[in-house]
Amino acid sequence: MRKILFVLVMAGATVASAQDVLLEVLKEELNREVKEFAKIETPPYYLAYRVNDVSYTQIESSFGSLVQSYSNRNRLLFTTVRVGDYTFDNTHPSEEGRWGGGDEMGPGGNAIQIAVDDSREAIQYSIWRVTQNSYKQARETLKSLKNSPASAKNKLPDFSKTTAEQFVEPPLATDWYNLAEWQDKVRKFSAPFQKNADMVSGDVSLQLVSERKYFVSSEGSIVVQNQRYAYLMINGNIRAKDGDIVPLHKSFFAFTPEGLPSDEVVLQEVDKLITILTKLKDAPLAEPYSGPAILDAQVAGVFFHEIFGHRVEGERLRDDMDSQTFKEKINQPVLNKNLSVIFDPTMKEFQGKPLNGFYRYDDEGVKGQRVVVVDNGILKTFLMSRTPLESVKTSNGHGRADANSDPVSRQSNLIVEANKSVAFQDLRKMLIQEAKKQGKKYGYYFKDVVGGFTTTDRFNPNAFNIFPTEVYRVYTDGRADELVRGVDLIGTPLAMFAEITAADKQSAIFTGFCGAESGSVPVTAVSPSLFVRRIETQKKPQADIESTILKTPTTNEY
Amino acid sequence: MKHVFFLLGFITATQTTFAQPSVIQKAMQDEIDRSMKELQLDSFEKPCYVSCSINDVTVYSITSVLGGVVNSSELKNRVKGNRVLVGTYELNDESLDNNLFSSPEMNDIQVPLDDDYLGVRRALWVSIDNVYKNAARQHAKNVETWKEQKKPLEEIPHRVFAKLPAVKIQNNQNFATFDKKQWEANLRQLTQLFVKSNYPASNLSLNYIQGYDYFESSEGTSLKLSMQRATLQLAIIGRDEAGELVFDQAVWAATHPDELPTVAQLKADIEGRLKKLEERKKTTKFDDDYTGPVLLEGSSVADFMSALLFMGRERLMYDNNIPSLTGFRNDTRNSMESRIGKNVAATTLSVKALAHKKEHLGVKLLGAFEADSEGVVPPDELTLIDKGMLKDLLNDRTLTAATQTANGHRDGPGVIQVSVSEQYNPKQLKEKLIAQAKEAGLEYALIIRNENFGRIGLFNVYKVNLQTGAEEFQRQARFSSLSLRNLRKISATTGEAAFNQPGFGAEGAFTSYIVPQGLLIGEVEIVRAEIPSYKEDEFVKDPLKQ
Repeated sequence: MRKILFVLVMAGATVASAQDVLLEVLKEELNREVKEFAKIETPPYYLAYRVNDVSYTQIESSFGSLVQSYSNRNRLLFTTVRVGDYTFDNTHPSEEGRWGGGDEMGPGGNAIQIAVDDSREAIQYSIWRVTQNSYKQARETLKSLKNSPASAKNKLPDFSKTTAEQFVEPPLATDWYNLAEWQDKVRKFSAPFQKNADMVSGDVSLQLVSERKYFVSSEGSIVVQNQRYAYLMINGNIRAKDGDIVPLHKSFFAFTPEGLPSDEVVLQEVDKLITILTKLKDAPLAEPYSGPAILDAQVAGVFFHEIFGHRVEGERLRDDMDSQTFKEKINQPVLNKNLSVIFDPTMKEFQGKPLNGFYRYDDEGVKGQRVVVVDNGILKTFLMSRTPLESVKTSNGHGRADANSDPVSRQSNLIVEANKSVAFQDLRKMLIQEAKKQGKKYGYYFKDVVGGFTTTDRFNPNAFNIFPTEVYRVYTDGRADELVRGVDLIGTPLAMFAEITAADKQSAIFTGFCGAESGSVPVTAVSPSLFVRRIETQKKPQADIESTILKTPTTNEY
Repeated sequence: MKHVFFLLGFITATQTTFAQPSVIQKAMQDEIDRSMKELQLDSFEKPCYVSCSINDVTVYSITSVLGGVVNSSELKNRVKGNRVLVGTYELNDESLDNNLFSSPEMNDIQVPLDDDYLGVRRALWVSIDNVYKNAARQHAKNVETWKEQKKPLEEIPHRVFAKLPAVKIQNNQNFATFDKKQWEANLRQLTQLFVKSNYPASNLSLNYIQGYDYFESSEGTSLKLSMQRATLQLAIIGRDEAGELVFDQAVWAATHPDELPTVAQLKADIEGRLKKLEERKKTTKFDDDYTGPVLLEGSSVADFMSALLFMGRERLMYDNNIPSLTGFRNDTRNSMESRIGKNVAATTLSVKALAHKKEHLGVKLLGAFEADSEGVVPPDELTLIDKGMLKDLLNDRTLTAATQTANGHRDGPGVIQVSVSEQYNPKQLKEKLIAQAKEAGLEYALIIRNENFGRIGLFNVYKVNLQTGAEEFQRQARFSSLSLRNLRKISATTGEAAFNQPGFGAEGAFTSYIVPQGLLIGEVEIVRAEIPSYKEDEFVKDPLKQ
């Protein structure tokens, strides 16, 4: 499975009615289904309904012109039906399923759209119909699995027990932003890109997402929680002198539009981005390199998310097609003993800044928990959904999914902590010292990043690829740092963990959306800058386009 | 061609207004002017033609089930297009190569939603630049390929860009307000009818699109064409006791939603359909392979002619394919082209395209249009089949033979009139059906009445007893195959009817048909339609039936 983390993704959002008719209908129909199913042979032992009620607004501008502005609202119902029992049910792994065949599938099917107004009959009928179909599929699957030798061989239980949770947040007000005002701002933010004729694109987009998530289950859980955010993204592309298109991005995340930086600050960031892009236009293309590097805090966050985070997501460790890097390493050292790694969905802010990976309950209705996965270099546990492992039997509130998918264990707010840290200047000194020791003219400083990906299966190299956007050579002879372009940071996880040597005192947040088996989920990675003794780079694919023949129109000359 | 020019002149004279161009048009014109004057890549030739289009539309969509709205959206969108020709109208970048499209580059810029002059120009500038560069190189390649042939251009298959006079049309329209909330309520009310029915999975969708199509060219053509189309689509879906699909569908079309039938009328119509479906569940399925005469009635006539004349292999439209001069030679041209001047149907049949005809027998013809998306104004009347003889095909501005002319049908048929000179009253036509069936030694004859089968290809039939004339309804039939050969023996009723059908051209566009109320086709193959059945188990009682 390939997992991707990107700073640029989409998401969804909310609205709710005062009396919450949807919740009433969900509860009523769930109770009715449970009662009615009890009358038949082989009833489901677990039923759950998730509804993501999402209101989504997207505003986009390009070079100061508004090019998109739309709003949408939908409700997606995802139904989970488990037949069998907690130890062996219709989700049990099978030989056929490993290769993508057989009847095996997750406990749920695909999400369906249901009425956005509170029409009880339409909603109830949709729930009933999808439950019927899901149950039928689940029952057939269970029959196949019971007769599969490979399924019988796998003794791991399929579903862990948990406490039934009851938490209902009041609905949020629907009028939470001024569209016209934000259209103006978004126009204004991309206008400065017009000043540079070499800019190939100069776009600003704002996502305003309000989501009310419902979860009810036959175990008695009733969870209704809100999530709302504003995500402002600035994207610029410049054509380098050799035709290479060089991108740079900047994003701002807040729980409300008011939480975003002031216009002045955003415009300063746009100017800064244009300045760096202008420098990148003339920057040399970097050659493949192996040697020491500093990963600035945000780069380090993505680095940890990719090379470490995806390898401690528990559910994948059940699959013997997965490389299972850490499966047998509990209570063993896996990182520098100076480092601890925590996943904490209960943190809403870090040093006053909002965290995108915050939630109260996961998508299986389990309370989100702070999980110390690595304590001073020692692996302690894994991120768990309700799918158990031999070593960790219960969920720690990390069963996550987008509206269309079955939850699996996923990351939340990743926090890298260092017991001993040094000032950033000391990291630079270490870098120069190590470069000299390795006989290099320079080390690398990775200052900014857009995302990355990693593979964890056994059929592909267990490698990662980070996509830095702002990279400097730090020379050992004291000359000024040199901006370069066309660099991707690559490597394999275990070799890389051993090379993490020191950490900065200051941490920073990378806000993004992570894509994996259960779709795109909001995450953050908080990390200090890191000094790594040896990294490897490769050339980025070039995206050449020809220069335009005529200059961008700037006046009414015709 | 001369005839076409005359008509163009006429249209231009009557419809042109001299209003100042809008910001969008000014930006389009200015960027075209700049491109024509300044665009030149290295030693390649400059463009000989540049055109731009912007579709400036707002699209409303509402979908409702069981009294609830599942989706209600409003999307304002501006979509650009452009064409750049390098060379001459006789030999240009499009003349020899079969790939006529340039992919958007990653530096593409969207058209602003605001009337932002420089923003519109920027969006057009990058597209024109990209298309021009591809065109300039392709033209140079085409010239080389032509020279390799060592033949005069006229002797090798190639595409010519038709020369046409400039056209100016400005439609400035005050669009009537669309009451989205009211239509949401209407759809809720109408789908509430399914709650207590046997068809709860049914749905009703309204799509309404309004706005303008802008087109400007370096030849001086300047169009601002208003666009307004409303479509209400009903799908009634259920299963009978054996698990077999039972369904019905209907499409209501109008320029504005307010012109659609009233809620009361729609309610009565849907109730009637539900009742009829219940009755039809009990009827027999058509279970035969039938080859013989078929009487089409009502909207089925339009559906049949649409399927035969414009959707099949023998459609009455030129394509732009030419045999390749090099490499693999595959002559994929429409076979109808070589049948021009020959009899293709009964001598009683004539087919005309009446692009500008806006109304017939009190029915608004929604397929009517003023100019196509290449800025070509079609003639008032274009004869396609005259007394069984193929006279012409619908065409765009790209000509692949010297005999072709551009007739303004880049986007499809528009309005089609089918007339049959052999006419009878309805009673006589049915008698003729029976007589033909008897003559063919058949046990029964078939009538297809007001069935809409254009999209899904399924319909119901009436089996006609050859002795008594009694009709028996049977469901689920389909045509085995259709070709113009089916039109060799036809007759019709005296009365005409007009129908609007979805299809062709831009989103939500229609084709209108003026056809006889009844059409007797001498020979058609009709077979049973196999639909997989699916028995839905009911583990828990349907909540709507409690």
